[in-house]
Amino acid sequence: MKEIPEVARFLRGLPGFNYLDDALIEACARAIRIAYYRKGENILTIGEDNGQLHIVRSGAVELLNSDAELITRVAESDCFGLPSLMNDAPVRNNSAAIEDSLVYQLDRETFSAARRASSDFDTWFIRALSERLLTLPAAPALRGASGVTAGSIVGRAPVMIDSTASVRAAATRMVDERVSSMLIMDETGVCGIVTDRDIRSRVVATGLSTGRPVAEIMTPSPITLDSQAHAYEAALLMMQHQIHHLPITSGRDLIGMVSRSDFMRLETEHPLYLVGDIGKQSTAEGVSGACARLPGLIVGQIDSDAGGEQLGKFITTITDTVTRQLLRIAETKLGPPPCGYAWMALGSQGRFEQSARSDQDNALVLANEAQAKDDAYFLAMAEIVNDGLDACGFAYCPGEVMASNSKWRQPLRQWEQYFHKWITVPEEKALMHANIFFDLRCVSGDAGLVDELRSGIRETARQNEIFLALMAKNAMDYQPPLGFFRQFVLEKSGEHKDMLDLKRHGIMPIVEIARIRSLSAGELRVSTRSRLLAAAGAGEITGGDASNLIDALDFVEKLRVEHQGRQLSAGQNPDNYIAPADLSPLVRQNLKAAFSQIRVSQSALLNRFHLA
Amino acid sequence: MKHRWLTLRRRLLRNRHFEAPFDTLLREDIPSPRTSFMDAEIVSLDIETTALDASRAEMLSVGWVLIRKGMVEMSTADSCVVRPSGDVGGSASVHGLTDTMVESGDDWKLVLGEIIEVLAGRVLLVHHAGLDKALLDRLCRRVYGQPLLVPVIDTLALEHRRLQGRHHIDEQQSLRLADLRQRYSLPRYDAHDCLVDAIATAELLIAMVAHNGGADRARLSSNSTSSAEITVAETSMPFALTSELTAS
Repeated sequence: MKEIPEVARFLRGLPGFNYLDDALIEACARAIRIAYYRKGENILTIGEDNGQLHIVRSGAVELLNSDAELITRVAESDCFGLPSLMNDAPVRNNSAAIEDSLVYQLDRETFSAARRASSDFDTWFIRALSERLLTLPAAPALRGASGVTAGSIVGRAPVMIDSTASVRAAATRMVDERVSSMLIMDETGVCGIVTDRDIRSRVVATGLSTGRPVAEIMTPSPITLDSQAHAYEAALLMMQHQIHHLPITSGRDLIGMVSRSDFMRLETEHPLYLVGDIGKQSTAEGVSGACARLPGLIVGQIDSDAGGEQLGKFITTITDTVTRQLLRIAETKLGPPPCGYAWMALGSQGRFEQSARSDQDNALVLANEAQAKDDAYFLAMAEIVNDGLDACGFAYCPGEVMASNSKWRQPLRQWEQYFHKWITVPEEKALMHANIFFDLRCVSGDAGLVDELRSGIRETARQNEIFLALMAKNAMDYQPPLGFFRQFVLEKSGEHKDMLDLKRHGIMPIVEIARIRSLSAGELRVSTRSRLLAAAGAGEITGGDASNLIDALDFVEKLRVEHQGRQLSAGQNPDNYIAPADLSPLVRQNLKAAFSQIRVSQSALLNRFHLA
Repeated sequence: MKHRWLTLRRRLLRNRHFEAPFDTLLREDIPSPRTSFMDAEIVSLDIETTALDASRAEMLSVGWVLIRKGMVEMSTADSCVVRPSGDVGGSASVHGLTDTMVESGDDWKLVLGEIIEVLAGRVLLVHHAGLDKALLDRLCRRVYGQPLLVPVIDTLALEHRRLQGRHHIDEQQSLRLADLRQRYSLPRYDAHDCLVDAIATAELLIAMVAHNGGADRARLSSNSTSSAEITVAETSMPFALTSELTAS
């Protein structure tokens, strides 16, 4: 092959490419396509596919994120397009020439071939990629933690088994411990690693007897990394060796395993990883440790323009996950439950409508065969979960609607009596505190217990006009804050003087209307939006009313979400108070329209029960 | 007009039989003047010669590279050293070719055949096309009895015309390849080699296109009204890029 003089000479002088031998340099030189971009011209656009490494031969290029913030400038001999090329992902930044630029493009195939052929070249680019990822605003965890060590991202303690154990015993352990890989030990220490994949490909696919020693199917002498190494070194090793699990050591001790998803978590901060992460914890401390990332994730969701409904589902999903994991931990600690039970979420968690500052509301329904002596078990369980939720940022309920309160830790029969009393012999005062119990949902345990309770409620509530009327009367406690001339009525004094409580005056009235209307329609849906739609479906309210209220709820929740997002970003505790003076005239006008709609719907509700 | 003339002449010759590469060259349609720059395949070519007089110059070495979809593709880069019929003389040292390299070179007819093969269906790009095109025409006549019937783009002529159009023309202003490249912020190439010059010319063309309306708008076109500056043999077709280059 004939040498391409200037191109090969330039490549040879590039950082990274200096590791390639003449044949590889020549292969790369042959694969180059040269493009020219005028100053100001766009090169890559966010979201598009990029199959090339872009190398600036002359000129300069600027990378900007979706908010048009400068990420970096690259000049002669610098590369760009690395993250999209190496991760086979859509382009993350816009790039544009800021000087007339000659840009070499190297296709993915040749680039990958060079990475396979030279481990130094490969390492150099994985490092370059990590460094580029560190500069991405989308990865605050990694960026803010350039000192992140491999030890700090270890997902859990290592699961190990002796090399003489059978394949079946190893697989059983992996299932029990819920891990996808396991270390194999002999008298000298770690001697191998076995993964799900090994069991698939070396046992199941080949028909090997599961009674054979696990040592026969393990990958011997696994690559390990010291816990003090940088987290990206772990990613580097895994990418280099095409492995998914990496044992992390400290001296001669094994600390644990890092899997690709542990690294991905750092890189992407995706909510799903938090769910997975919580599910791996074996202690309440571990769960609350994992939840430390929740405020950041909420901000991330808000930044990506999540509305109130979406955010509510997201936070509720996390709360549900935390609850289930804490229950698992409790059962491990306390042993199997003496009888059936269901853990119920109430209030906003029950409705999938939690906000960034929601408290916890929960209760335990026990099977009717529960005996008095069983209560000690469930009290211990409730305390583990209530304390654990509080440690995760879901504060204790000020009204003590929690499973640790013996009143709300009762057999099904007692719960049926509670509801029967609330519905058939309603007292205004008692009902006011009972309304969140009508937002009940089973989070864990025997869902049949909750189903039974719910069907009883559905039947009796509809037939009891007085109960519904009292609920409607109570609902008027939450009035939209509009004065006679449609000016806002603000807090008169105290910490929130001249502010509006969006939850009390905007969200709760709609939640109340929806709950009553759906009970009245004989429906017991959980979320406010689905209750309004079900009520409209049953003719309890008009379709127009339902959609107007949903619009009003969307608007007020969005305001609250943005407000709480700003508070979280500023490191403050989120609350529900906004100052109308800070709102734009248009937003103020829309907020007034939302409040007017609430007032109209409240009047209709009063009329419905002849209370006007 | 000249495009039509070129097409006509090629069509007439199709009825006659020529040796393989030249025959293919005639049978492959040439890109029409309306072909967009992005669709055209352009062969940037540079020849090192033994003399500056086309009537007696011989090829010493040839390098070429293709522009496709507006980009210079290194995978298409190639170069040949030609074994000259006579003595290389002084020019060999100018081009850095040693006698051994030249001796191991290919027969000029073989190299000419390769050039013709690469040019089939494509447009020829040369900086200062005059000498190289005249030389190729002469060699083609010797072998096939016909000149090299391909459309030509000349970066020097394009820049000259652009400067004229702007009334910027200054006799002092150099139109040498290296100077033009500098004007378009292209890197300096030190190597003196026909392949480097072919690449350098290709880069210059994509830069000129980017600066004159962009690759998406540029089209090939025969521009008979202002072809005067292209001083090439009577058979050559001055292809240029459209008004974006001349009007601005």
